[in-house]
Amino acid sequence: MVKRILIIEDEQIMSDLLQRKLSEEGYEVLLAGDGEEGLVKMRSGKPDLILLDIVMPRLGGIEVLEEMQKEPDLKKIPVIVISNSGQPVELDKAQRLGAKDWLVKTEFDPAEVIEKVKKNLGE
Amino acid sequence: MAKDLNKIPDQEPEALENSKRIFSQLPLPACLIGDNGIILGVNDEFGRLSGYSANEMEGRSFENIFFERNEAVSAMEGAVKKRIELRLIAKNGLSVPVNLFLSGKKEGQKGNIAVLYDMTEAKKSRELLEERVERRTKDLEESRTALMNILEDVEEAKRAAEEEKDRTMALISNFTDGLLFFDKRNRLSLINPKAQSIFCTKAGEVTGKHMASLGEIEKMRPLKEMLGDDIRDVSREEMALNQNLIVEISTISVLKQGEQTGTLVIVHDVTREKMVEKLKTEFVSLSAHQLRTPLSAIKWTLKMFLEGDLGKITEEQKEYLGKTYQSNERMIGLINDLLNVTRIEEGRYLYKLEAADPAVLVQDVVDSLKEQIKNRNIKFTFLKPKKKISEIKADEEKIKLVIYNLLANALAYTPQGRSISIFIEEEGGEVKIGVKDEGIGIPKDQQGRIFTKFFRGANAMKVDTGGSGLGLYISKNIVEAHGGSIWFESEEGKGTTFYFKIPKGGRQGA
Repeated sequence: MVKRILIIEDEQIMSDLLQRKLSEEGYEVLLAGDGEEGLVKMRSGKPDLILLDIVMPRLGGIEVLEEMQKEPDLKKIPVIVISNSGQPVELDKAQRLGAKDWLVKTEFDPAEVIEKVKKNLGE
Repeated sequence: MAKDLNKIPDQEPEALENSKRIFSQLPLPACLIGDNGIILGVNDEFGRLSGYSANEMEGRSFENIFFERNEAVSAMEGAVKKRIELRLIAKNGLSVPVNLFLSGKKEGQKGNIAVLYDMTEAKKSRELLEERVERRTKDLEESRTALMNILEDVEEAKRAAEEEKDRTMALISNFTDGLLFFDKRNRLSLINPKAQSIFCTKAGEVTGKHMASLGEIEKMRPLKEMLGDDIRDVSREEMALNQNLIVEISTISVLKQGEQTGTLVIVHDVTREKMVEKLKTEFVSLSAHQLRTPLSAIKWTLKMFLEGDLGKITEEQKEYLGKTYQSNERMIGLINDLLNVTRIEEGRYLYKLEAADPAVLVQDVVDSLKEQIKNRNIKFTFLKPKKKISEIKADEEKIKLVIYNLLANALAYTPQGRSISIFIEEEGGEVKIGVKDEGIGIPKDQQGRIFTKFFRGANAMKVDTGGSGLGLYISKNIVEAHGGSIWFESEEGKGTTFYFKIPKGGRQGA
């Protein structure tokens, strides 16, 4: 069965690149440009995994994680945080709110993101 | 004498004889004066006093035997008995001080008996006394003058002291820093207006109070908590009194002849500096963050081109894109350095201190630089310790950054074919890590500035123009935040060895 991945990222080129890479790898990709849209899409689309940016307009990544904690259905979806800053404080907070893994954008490239996705989907 | 006696016709001869005997034997100098003021006779005592014999005296005018002739005349003409001071002219020409007594005489009668008291001795002793009084007076006068001088000096000193005090008080009052002076029993004896305004208090409320009881005044509590009841020594320690008031506290022991007479507490308002510093740091931090997003997009795009994810590209295109990718990586490195510096300056740099195996940290960094080491054609050795090295208490990522910076520098500044080695040793309570290269070295005159922010050695600039001059500054801050130290040995043209030490920690930790 094709795994569905939701990318919540406001920087369009980043989500485009990720979508392309993930599609090449055979995943089905959903896109959301901010946290609010992300919550709507995860409720309707039931993704197997979420790639979540932290700094976003309207609703940020940390708030998205907080919302997900309140809903059992959403809480069990694995989340990989894609962080711009890589600040330990931020990453720690994300992990406490259930994020399974994280990566810092400037330190990773799309191929490595795929590795993390596969690992977290148990593939 | 017989002629004279005849002039006293009414006197009986026997009585006259008696008178003469009494007169001649009188133990005081005396002379008999006739009505016309002529001396009729003198006794023996008179002769002794004046040096004249009776014969020489008789027939002379009485007033002529004194220096003060007029006074003698008026004394003889006077109606009453009186004593006057005169000077007798002795035969040797000297004057003899005498007191003259003239016996009372009847109306119209000039005849008289004059009795003289020799005042020589009396006068001498009086003179002596006078001289003594004079001397004493002079002494007193001198003492008084001396005393007056002393008083004037004291007055002057007092005036000078008061002037000095006024000047000091003016200085203290108008000083732009807050000043508090505690006496040797740690009681507040002085607080200047600036300090009063900083602590929102009045001198009257706090002066005289012990440091311990100042803690009861809410505004003063932070100061008491920082310095303690005994006022410990501090130098420029920061204290936030509220969000808009940050001060730096310093204390100075006031000594007098080696003994402490009190403590001066200086309160320097650094709110503005801190604000500016914070704004600057925030600006750099924000811009660095903002720069990272597009840099990530470029990195990912280039990487996907290079890996063929975005379609086939020619070898030439690949080469250019590869170089662009490297430039972008360098830019990311610079931005990361800037961010690290802002975090150091915001004082929130070290994150979590956990027990870490230094050999593992070094190995991780060596692995991450494997490609570069291979490309540089350098003889590289990691001298692994023979026995297990103790763990250190460290923020792993930060210590790895230090090792990375030192190793990356060694790689950048060591020519092809030379060697670089890295080693770990245990020294007492610390673990020492060293990176030794055979590179260009650090010029002697620049060695003192090597850990300064943005500083780059002149020879290093020629070899590699891309460095930020932040690596060693960041490394030093990281090592010192761990309670360690960093230093180097270097000779220009021969090579450099950088060392750093971190205290042991974790389970085996001291």
